[in-house]
Amino acid sequence: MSGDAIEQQVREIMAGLFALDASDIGSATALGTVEKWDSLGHVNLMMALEQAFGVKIKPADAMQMLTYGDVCEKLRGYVG
Amino acid sequence: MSKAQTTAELRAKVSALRASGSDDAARALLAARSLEGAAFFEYPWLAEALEAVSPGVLPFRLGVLSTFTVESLRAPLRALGLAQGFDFSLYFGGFGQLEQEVMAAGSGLGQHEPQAIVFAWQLRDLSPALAERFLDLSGDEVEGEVQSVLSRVRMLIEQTRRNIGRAAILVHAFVPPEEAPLGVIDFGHEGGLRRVVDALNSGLCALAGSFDSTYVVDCPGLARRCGSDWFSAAHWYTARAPLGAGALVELGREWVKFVRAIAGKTKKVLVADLDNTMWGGIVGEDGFDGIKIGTEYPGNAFRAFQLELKQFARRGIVLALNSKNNEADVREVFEKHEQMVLGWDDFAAKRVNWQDKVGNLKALAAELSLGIDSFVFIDDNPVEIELVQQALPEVTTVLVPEEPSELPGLLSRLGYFDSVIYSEEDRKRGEFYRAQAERSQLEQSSTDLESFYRSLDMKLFVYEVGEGQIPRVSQLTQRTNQFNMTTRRYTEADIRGFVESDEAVVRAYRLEDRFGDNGIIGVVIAKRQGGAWELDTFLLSCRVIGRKVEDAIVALLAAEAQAAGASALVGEFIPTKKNAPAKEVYSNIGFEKTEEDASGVSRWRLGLSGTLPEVADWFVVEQVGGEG
Repeated sequence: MSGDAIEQQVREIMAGLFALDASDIGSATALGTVEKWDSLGHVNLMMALEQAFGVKIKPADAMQMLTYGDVCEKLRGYVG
Repeated sequence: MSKAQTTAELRAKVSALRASGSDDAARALLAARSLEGAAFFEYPWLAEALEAVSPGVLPFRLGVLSTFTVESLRAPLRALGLAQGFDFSLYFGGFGQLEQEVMAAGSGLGQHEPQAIVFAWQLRDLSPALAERFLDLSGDEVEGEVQSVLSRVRMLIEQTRRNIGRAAILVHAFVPPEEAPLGVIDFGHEGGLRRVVDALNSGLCALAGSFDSTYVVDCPGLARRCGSDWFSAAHWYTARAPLGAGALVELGREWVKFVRAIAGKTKKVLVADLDNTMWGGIVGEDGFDGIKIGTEYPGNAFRAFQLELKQFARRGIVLALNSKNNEADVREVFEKHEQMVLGWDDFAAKRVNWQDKVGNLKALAAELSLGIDSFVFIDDNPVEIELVQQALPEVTTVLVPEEPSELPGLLSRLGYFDSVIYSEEDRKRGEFYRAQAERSQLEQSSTDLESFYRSLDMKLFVYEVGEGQIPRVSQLTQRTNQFNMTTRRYTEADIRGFVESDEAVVRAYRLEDRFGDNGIIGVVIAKRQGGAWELDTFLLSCRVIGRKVEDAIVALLAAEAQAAGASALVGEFIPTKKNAPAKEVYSNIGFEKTEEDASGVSRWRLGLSGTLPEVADWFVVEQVGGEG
């Protein structure tokens, strides 16, 4: 999966879960700065990513996936 | 189906449809996506988009008490609900706060005034001892643990009933832990945990059965269907969220099936197409010997589908046909093809012709005297499905999967016909409707109505309602729409309340005729009010409309009320979208209208001092005591 495709899919997922416009999602999108990305939102995000990409995210990685950029970067390690 | 649409494609299509004013088509698309194939992350958007195109859907207040993280279900539940006609107002109780929420009427749950409450728990939450250190326990301790879980559940249900009211209650059954304490032999060994969990679940079912409107969610079945997604170790240990995204939505789907049944929105009729639905191929082109039905693929998949429908008929689901074909070709298949499971007579009504299917559906609804919103229509042609969706959005449609092996089981999983009540009447419903068809033939051959009534040999049994009739009486108040003067819906507990009250008279009526036993088909609940008997409820099953049963019931009731010293029968008619057939009943029987308000609600009076109406002499009447 190309980096672009991952980013596009992550934007789609975050837009769906957090009620955002996909085009507004970028480096400033982070846990705590987005209203619906709270601790429950984070669990939802991890579940959604696992389902969409068919992966199991390790808790240690989940704890570091706190911004849009980190999410995409960590995911690259799973879906290459 | 072709390749699934991406979210962006779906969003664009929905926007375009809405811009062109086709909200119904947009809703159909969104509902289809919500019900099958949506990704977890799409649900918040689906819920919001459905909300915008679903005006006037039925509000339903649902409370959820859980011992694990389940709030992630909020958006999926909203979308699944809206897709099936429910506007859910959801309340999630404090994490693990079961007792706190049900012990006081003023709790968050109590203030939400839920119509249904789900108790979502796991074995590891209610009995850590059984789940985590089972082998430490002696036999007596295991038994004590089982009893203590059950008595906690009993207490929670009792407190809910006392403090929260008549909400329906769903309790989660327990799933055996993924890793069995005794390993491979745990399942079969008498010292294994598996048998203990089975006993616990049996106890739970018995307990639920001892309360009104209390049902058990088959979590072991869900766990089997969801496979490894049922337990997500990473989310469990980090966030007490044990379910994967797919399993979570599957659980929500199961709750919604219960809600649909509890709210009386159970579908009643399955209308099926024939070619490439009931068998593979097209009988008009491939011929009697060319269609695929039998023991080999793909004929065996269609045969399995027919077996499924046969079981549906046994549950009381009415089967009907709507197919573009020559009736003679089709009849020959049903009557002579030895691989067919279903026979021509298994269908209560048929439209096999070259008319359009929308018109046929309307004609079937009229013939069966059943509301078209209780219909599910299955067809292999997406164009037919779309036409029906557009013309009759109240009909639920199902497209036959292109792959025949995916057809058997599909309707069962969708759960449209799931009901929370299963009675002897349900088993017989297919026979009732067949007999109904024979009756209408007799009616057509009779020269006048009176000779038709006489030829039916009707026997009316009047029940002083007791425990034995309560479930059916409640079911009739929940399901009867057409001949229903007031359309008041009552649970079994409500009916029991009336039966036990000195102020109310509850009667049920069973009708037999030369074609068979119609079962209990009528209910009257009369309240003694200031010397009169007020008919709080007066309803008849649509099976027996048009046979003067209502006149006989009123005559019997008038005589009984007079004997009890009442001065009058007082009736009420509350108009709904569906009960027009009942509008003229009181006036036809000789009641006088005393009031009518602007909304059409009218009150009627039949004085009991003069001559009373008589039961027509073509009825034989028999009184039956309670408890029978």
